Amino acid sequence: MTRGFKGERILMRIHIGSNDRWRGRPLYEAILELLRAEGFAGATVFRGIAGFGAAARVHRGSALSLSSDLPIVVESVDTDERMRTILPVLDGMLGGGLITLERVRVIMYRADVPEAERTGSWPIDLGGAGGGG
Amino acid sequence: MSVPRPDAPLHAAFGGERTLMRIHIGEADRFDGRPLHRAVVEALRARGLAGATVTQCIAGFGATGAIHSWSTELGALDLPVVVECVDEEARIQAVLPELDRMIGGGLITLERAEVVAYRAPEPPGSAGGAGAGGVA
Repeated sequence: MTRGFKGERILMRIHIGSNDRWRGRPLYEAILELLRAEGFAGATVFRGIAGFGAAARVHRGSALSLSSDLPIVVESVDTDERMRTILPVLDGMLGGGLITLERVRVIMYRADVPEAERTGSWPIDLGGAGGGG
Repeated sequence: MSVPRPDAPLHAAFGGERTLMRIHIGEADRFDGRPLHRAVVEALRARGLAGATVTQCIAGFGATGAIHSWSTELGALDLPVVVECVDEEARIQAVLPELDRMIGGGLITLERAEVVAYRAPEPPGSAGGAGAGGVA
């Protein structure tokens, strides 16, 4: 799982709702575990405080309601090929939502290790030469 | 507290194509006895970058493969945080060596961003936004 990589990659952003579910669990949790099981480099889940989407209903939180359906964004950065492979699987899991892809430059991706164990791929690298680590 | 920013970008001139830097770290990461995300924001501010935003996330996994979420982090509170910053590519490149020293594990990405508005709120009673105020 600790694969170092740098250079041009794809950022995928998946917009869903916090109430969306997949087989009895929160959909964002299921997506996170899917991406992890498929060996993706990482994923991050954001919760928005308000939004609207394809159904044009405004979603907003309220101090009195713990059950509000707030926007959730799942982001992941990896290769274009990996994104293409996972899209049909996501297609089967998502009801409504939005998925976008954009190009990003990865200049650092690393797990923290003691200084003595750091390899040549440790430093930030603008050139994006790639390589393992 | 006010940090002098003699070379801060002129608001009117800041529109156009810039670079968006996103730094993924953990909320519990520390640098020099402080939370790392706070140290990163202070480093960006001290160097006169145009701004920075820290977002706390609710779940994620990264280079170690361990999942961080509300349920797994009840004790440790190490949820993912993302620090975002938009500025000129050269200005961002200049701060990278410092970030490299501060950050242990994490992810940094750069992407192109088109700035269409960047301005400070006008003080009450000022003449109004001539010139720099509009969305480009």
